[in-house]
Formats: sequence, C-alpha cells, structure tokens
Amino acid sequence: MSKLRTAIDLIIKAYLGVAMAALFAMMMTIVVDVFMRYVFNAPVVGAFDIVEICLVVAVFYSMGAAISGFHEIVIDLVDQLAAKWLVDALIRLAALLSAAALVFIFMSMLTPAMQSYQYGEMRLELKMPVWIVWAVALVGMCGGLMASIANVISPRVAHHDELPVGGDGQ
Amino acid sequence: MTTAVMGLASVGVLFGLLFARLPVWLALALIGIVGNIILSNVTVAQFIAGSTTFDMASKYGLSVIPMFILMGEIATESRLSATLFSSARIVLSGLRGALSVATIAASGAFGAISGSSVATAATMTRIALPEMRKANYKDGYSAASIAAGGTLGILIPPSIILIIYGAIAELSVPRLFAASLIPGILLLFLYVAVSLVLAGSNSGSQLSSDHPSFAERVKAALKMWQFAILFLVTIGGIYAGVFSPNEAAGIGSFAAMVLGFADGRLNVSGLLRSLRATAITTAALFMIVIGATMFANFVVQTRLPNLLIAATETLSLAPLTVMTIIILVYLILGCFLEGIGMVLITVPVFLPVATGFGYDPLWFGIIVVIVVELGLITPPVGMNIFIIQAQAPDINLVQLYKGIGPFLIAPIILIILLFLFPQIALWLPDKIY
Repeated sequence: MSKLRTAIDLIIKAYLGVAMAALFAMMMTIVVDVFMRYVFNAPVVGAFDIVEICLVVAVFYSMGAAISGFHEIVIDLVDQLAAKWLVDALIRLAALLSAAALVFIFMSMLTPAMQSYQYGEMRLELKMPVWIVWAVALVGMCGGLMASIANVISPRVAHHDELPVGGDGQ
Repeated sequence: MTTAVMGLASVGVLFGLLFARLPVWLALALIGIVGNIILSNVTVAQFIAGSTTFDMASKYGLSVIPMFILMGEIATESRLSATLFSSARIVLSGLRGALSVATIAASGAFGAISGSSVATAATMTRIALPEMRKANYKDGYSAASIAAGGTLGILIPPSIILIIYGAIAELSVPRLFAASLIPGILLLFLYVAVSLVLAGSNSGSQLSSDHPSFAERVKAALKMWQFAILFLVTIGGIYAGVFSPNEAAGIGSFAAMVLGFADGRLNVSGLLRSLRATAITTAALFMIVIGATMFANFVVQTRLPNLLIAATETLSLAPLTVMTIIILVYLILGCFLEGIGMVLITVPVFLPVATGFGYDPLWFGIIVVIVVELGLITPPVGMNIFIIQAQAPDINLVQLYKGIGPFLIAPIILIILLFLFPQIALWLPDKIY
C-alpha cells in the first residue's frame, strides 16, 4: 500500500510542477501581450487562447496536490466534538465520495470531448483543435482521482505548516 | 414534494454534509449531481457536470483569480508586509496604540495587494505580534487588531471573493472593485477608530517612547514605494481603464516578482514556493467554484428563490426587513462556515431575492463581503482567529474572543451606513464607468 501511495505522490508532484509551469506561462503571456500591444501595437496572436489553456492546465493538474495534501476547504467542527475513530472514518468517507464524484465528472467530460473531436471544433486564435484541451483536462483530472483513491487507502492529513496561507480568497 | 421544497431540503442536506466533514466543493457537487439526476435524469446531470467543469476551468475571465493569488504569494514571499508594518509604525509613532493602528493600516495596504484575509492575518501575526508584545500591549488587543486588520484584505480591491461573486452574479469585476474601494477605506478608518478608543480607555497600549522627526516619518513613508507601484499598476490600471482585471493581475504578479528579485528579497526557490502555493490554492478554489456552479444550476431549476420571494410577498415583508433577515442569516452562517463556501452556497438563493426587492446587485455584493468579513472574526469559527492562534498558541482563545468583541462594531456600523447611504458603494462605479 505504501509503495502505491509513494508512486501516486510522485505522479501528483510531477503534475503540480506542470501546473506551476502553466501559471508562470500564463503570467508571461499576459505581460508579453500587453507589452507588445502598447509598445508595438502588435498583440500576441493567440494570447487569449494560451491564457485559457494555461488555466485549464493550472486547475486540473494541481487538483491532485490539493486533494492529496488535504488543502480543500472543510468545516472541521466535528473534529472537536467526535471521537478520533469517527473523524478518521469521515475523512475516508469523504475521500471515497470524492473519488466517486470525480469518476462521474470524468465520465461526463468524455462525451463533450468526443463531440469536440467529431465536429472538428477549433480554438479561434490558435487554430488548434479543442479536443486536445479536453484531453489535457482529462489527463489532469486523473491526478485528482488518484489522490482521492490514495486518501481512501492511506489517508495522510497534512501538517498545519504545510498549508499555503495566502490567496485563499478569504 | 414540489421542486421548490426539494430545493429547500437540499440546502438542509448540504449543511448536513458540510458538518459531516465533506470538503465544501464535494458537498456542493454531490447535491448538484444527485439533485439534477432526481429532477431530470442521468444524461442531463452528466451534461451539466461535464460542461460546467470544463467551462469554469477554461473561462478567461476567471484567470484573474490565480494571477491575483500569485501576486499576493510573491508579495508575502518578498516580505513586503514587513516593510509596510515598519514604515507604518514610524509614521504613526507617538500615537497611543500606534502599533495597533500601524498593524491595521499595514494590513489594509497588504490586503490591497494580496486579496486574502488569511494571508494578511498570518503574515501580520509573525511581524506585528512580537512588536506589540515587546511594547506590553495586551495579547487580546494585539491579536484582535491583527484579526480585524486582516479582514480588510477581502474588501479592499483586489478581492478574490468579489471576483467569485462577480462570476456568479454576472457582474463586471472593475465595477465591483470600484464599489468596494470606499467601503474598504471606510472600514479601515472605523477599525482605526475602535483601536484608538480601546488604546485610550487603557485596555490597550502604552504610549510609544520613539519620537521620530517629520523627515524620518516622510522617509519611512517613502519606503512603501513598492506597495504604491503594485497598487497603482493593478487597481489604478483597472480604474483608469488601461488594463482589464486579467491584465492587471498578470502584470501585478510580474511586477511583484521583478521588484522582489531587484530588491534581493525574492529568490528562485521563493518564486517556486509562491507558484506552488498559488497552484494548490487555485485548484482548491476552482473545485469549489465548479461544485457551486453545479449546485446553483440545481437550485435555479428547483425555483427555490421564487419560493422565497413568494413567501416574503405573502407575509407582506418590507424590503428592509427582508434584507435584515438575509444579513442575520449570513451572520449566523458566518459563525460556522468559511467565506467562499458561504458566498457560493447562498448567493444563488439570496441574490434573486435581494434584486427582486429592488436592491442593486453591486451594493448587495459589498454587503455580502462585509458580512463574510464579520464571519472571519466572529467566534466560534472565525478563520482569522484560528490563524492567529495557530501561530501564537500561547494566546488564550477566551482572551482573543474578548479582544475581538469591540472590533465587531466597525463592520456593523459600515453595514448600517451602507443601508442609509447606498451611494458609499454605488457612487464610484457610476462615476468611473
């Protein structure tokens, strides 16, 4: 079990690296686009599409790290009221339901992805087939799914100091 | 069972799932999926789940969220908050309760960059609390100043919660940012007033022994130039119509990175830490947004908002009474739920009711953010309180609760002012756009 957990953690770490690169690329695309537009009156062709694709990568490829590290927002009032075994059981139940929900969403995304392929849908600026973005999203979602499964088989609650403190919107 | 009653029941089930420790995104998504299966069928539920997930994660307008988060993370990593606090303490030196006021002022300024209350409270605890302890400030008063100051981060633009509210309510982000500026500054002054009153009534601080000259104060103020640049580039750029919110956020992140590197306060590993934290926070937020969109889709189909409007009309309730009830519900929920979840769960239900009674959605958004702020510092759940306690475990929670009490008055006064003078929120967006 622990070998499986380690393998999943490694994959999730690699996924997170991809998401971080996408965020950096998103920032640089915006900066270069604005610079080119204001200075040379020549905006970057496809900047809009690149930003959207980077967002897809950033969201789906970091999902695994968010789930695996228990960075999801949870109302944990029950922790102070219930016995430890019950809290552990609730954590596992949440992981199981999380895996089920992600499987449902993953399956739900297959149909529009295939339709996008069949109809030859294209990104307007980049002239890139949209199904590729769907495929990228689906591969990214596997990270979230793996993380949920890993949490079911061997839950590992993050230490408080591992939590990112910034930008949670609150 | 009518569909509206089913909608009402689903809200009850949602709270049950939340208290059973299900992550907020999961509880929302499950209700949305199962609700849509019951109301329609599996095919419809699949269509909604598949398209919602992809559409939300590829929405250009929402790219503003990770970019503003990144700007805040880089600013935090560059210890910009420390500069803001040290400058503010010199500028305000000589004032009774100066360190508390400096904390609130620096929190307001840092909040303007980070857009995050928790990040502001966490960094200010590390920076300001030891200084206030050295000056013999009471722990309750010190921690309460940090907790209250931290809440300014979600009202003073850029605010992530306002961006998310804008996405649900289909409102322009620049208009929302314009609407929140004056209430944000007003709240900062109200917190400062509370802090000064507490300091004067001897429950707070000692008079500072430092007496810097006017030139030293000006020099200290000038040290805040990095903050001024970031604020001007981002919020100034949006207000002036030079940048869209997405562009302002991207350029703000880049500017924060360049300033951090130029100043030697940011290195590559710091940048990587910022990117890592941003990626994880972005995923956590988008998962909630996706779940909430599925939930909202279901709630709209149940016509629950229509039921609520009809019920209030049957009871012949005045608009003010309805709004008061909504705010009371938010205040109660705020004691147990966290901010973003609260906004995403309630806005699809309450916004149509508020607008149905003639209230401006822009104004309502500001009210919602202020009550969320209240929730952040209201016992028993107040997130900022826990963030401070986690970093300073020796502070007694009861002492902290007692300290925070007087600060709760400030947002309540602001809500009353917004009811009496809605133009506090609506004047600037109407003037600029």
